[in-house]
Amino acid sequence: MLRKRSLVSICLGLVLLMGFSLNGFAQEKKWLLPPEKANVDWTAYKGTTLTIGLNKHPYTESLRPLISQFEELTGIEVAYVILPEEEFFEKLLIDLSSGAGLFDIYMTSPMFEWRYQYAGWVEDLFPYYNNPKLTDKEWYNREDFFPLVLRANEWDGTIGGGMGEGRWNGIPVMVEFYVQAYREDLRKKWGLTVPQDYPEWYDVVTKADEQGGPDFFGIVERGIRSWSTVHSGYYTGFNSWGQKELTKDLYASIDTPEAIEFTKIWIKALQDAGVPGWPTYTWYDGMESYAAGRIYMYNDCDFFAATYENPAKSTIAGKSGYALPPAGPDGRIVSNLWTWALGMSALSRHKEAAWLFLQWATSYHSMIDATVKHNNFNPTRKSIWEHPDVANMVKNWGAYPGEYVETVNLMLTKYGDIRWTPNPDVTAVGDIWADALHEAYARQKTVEQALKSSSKGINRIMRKWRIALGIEK
Amino acid sequence: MHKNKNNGHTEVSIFFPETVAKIRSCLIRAKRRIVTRKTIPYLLYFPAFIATVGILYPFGRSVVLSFYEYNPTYGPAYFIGVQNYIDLFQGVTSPSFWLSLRVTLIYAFANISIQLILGLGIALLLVRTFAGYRIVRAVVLFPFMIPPIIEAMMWKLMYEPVTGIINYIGSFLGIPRIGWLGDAAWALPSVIVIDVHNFTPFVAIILLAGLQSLPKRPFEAAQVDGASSWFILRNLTFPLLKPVLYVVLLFRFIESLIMFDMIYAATHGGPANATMSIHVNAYYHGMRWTMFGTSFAFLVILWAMVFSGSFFIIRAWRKSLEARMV
Repeated sequence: MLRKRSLVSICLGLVLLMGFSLNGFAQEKKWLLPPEKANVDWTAYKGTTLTIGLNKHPYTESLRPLISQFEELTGIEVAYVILPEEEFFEKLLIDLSSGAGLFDIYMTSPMFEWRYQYAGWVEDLFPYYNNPKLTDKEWYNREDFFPLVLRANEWDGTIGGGMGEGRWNGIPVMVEFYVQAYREDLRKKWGLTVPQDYPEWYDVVTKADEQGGPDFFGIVERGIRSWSTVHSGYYTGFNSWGQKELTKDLYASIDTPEAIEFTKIWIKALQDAGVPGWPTYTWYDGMESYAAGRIYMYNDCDFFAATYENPAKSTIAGKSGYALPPAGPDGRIVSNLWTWALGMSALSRHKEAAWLFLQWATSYHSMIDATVKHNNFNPTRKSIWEHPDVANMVKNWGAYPGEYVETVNLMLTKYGDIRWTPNPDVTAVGDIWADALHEAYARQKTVEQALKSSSKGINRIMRKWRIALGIEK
Repeated sequence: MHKNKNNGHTEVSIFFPETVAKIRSCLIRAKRRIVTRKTIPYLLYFPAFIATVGILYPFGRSVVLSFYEYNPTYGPAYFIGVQNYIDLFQGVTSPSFWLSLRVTLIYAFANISIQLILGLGIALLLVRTFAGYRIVRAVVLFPFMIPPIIEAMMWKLMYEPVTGIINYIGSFLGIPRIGWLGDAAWALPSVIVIDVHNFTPFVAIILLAGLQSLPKRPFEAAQVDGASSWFILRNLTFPLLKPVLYVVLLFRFIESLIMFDMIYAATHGGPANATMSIHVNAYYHGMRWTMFGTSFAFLVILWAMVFSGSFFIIRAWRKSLEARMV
């Protein structure tokens, strides 16, 4: 009798244990479930039309095929406008500053959110995220995002600081860091090294330029008259020399002795080993030139590897290495960071519907498809970056198997961050700074003269913030 | 409903016929009063007047805002008087402004000179009749049909230093590779070439029309008297063509001063501000940096240049018309 009772109790206990375990398992993995399983009324705003502003970018190409799934799920119609990057930002600014409110959702990034937040154009996403009628937090799993990229898109409005605090301005959909993408096959052939510092970097690219012949160049970098020319490889190196573009009192500091020394190396490399017509090159031109096999090295986005390693888009698939940026004089390695994010316009007339789109588009379910099926790199969710399918896609990228993953992991955990000083006029600072690089490259001024000249322009731009903060009268 | 029996036919009118007739006669009387010889010019001008008012409002608002510190990123606009203009001429913005002024004037002067000379030459060639002249006249117009921004993008590909066709052809002629739009020394001439290519056909066609409208008798008389071609060109063609030349000059003067899309698409105002015209500079200040007050100050000065230059050209045009009638 006792034995029978014990057996029954044990069986009951096992059943209960299994039940709790399964429930826990289901709760742990809820974010893996399709949107239909989320506790969200997807059809609450059926019949609404949303307009999205998108930049011509690989992420856009990964989002577009998925939009019909959202429309089917929600009954919300989605229209979108795609423009090249420079034109996209200008169109977006016109829309926001005029109050037209064409876009409900737009691609954005921290540096632009700093301006939009001050002007009252970007919607804080926390109220929507915290609204249980609109969001299934368990399904959405915000904790799955890399903290670094979430932090980059949060700002409390403190000029010179405040990142990771306050408002949530955008949901990151991809993240990029700046690496040395170089031709590993040619490196071996010509006996070159992987540069560990910037003087070595200059030597390597000039040697490569000599070896490659008249239509091959040692280096390509972004060059148009824009903050984006400063942002990627140049600022990465600049900051590795311990430099920032603004002091704590918001005065320009791009003309310190160290900044001048680094800029001299950078400009000389472009003059001696760079593509002619460098001042007209966009990031896209640089990527295409490298993928066409005309360039030895491109210090720019790591995720361009998705193009370089694709035989349909590149003549050099399987031939590149992806090394960390060279170190500064004291061995410091850093990388600037950029995330494309989706934000909501404060002028939108369909904010709840827009939040449904944002929640859906940045969920695990949509973003795994965006990466695995449509090459959106680098993903901003840990679970996607660590997914076996994604690991399989990138395992052979680099000079040796796993190099790309190693480099990106180091960026995510150690070297990568937004290096700019948070302030609403950061892009204006960058535009004026790019003038200095152009003037020095064209030999109109020495590097020192050019940087000092641009410093005056930057100080003019920042004056109103110094006055606002009481630093200047 | 009303039925009329008239010669065996029945007319059925749904509306009251007396009312319809009254309305009709009112409309006819009103039309006769409104549309008269005196009022027709004003009526024809009315749509243009509406468009003018529609343009004047944003223009006026821009002029007013040029006296404000207007930066939506920073806060509400506030009045600062002429400070934006002082900054442009001698203050913190002045190096940028004087550089842009120099670029704008060089761009306009070069475009006008080259296009007038080339356009006149083409017009003088096309005024003759020869086999296929109609086709040639149509083909000459092709570049003008291309929007300036597309023209700039097309030429940007051709100017590309490594893969572009211009350097490729130059390599066969022993010309070293030039950076063109990416070379601070060559960028402005390169953009001028684009403008010349795009707008010379317009100049040629207008001048061709002008040449075709010139009276034939003075030319016949000069030929009978044995005058040389150069004499005819200098003493007959140019003086008689002056009014048309001034019209073309006016168009090209205005468009060259305000050109934006071609320059911005080609170079973004670079490299090293080599092509930073006033309009492009205003665009940077307004549409990239949200410094709208400064941007409007740039544009008001540009407008003043256009207005004052146009005033003198139109005055010269009127004098040339009077001289021609004499």
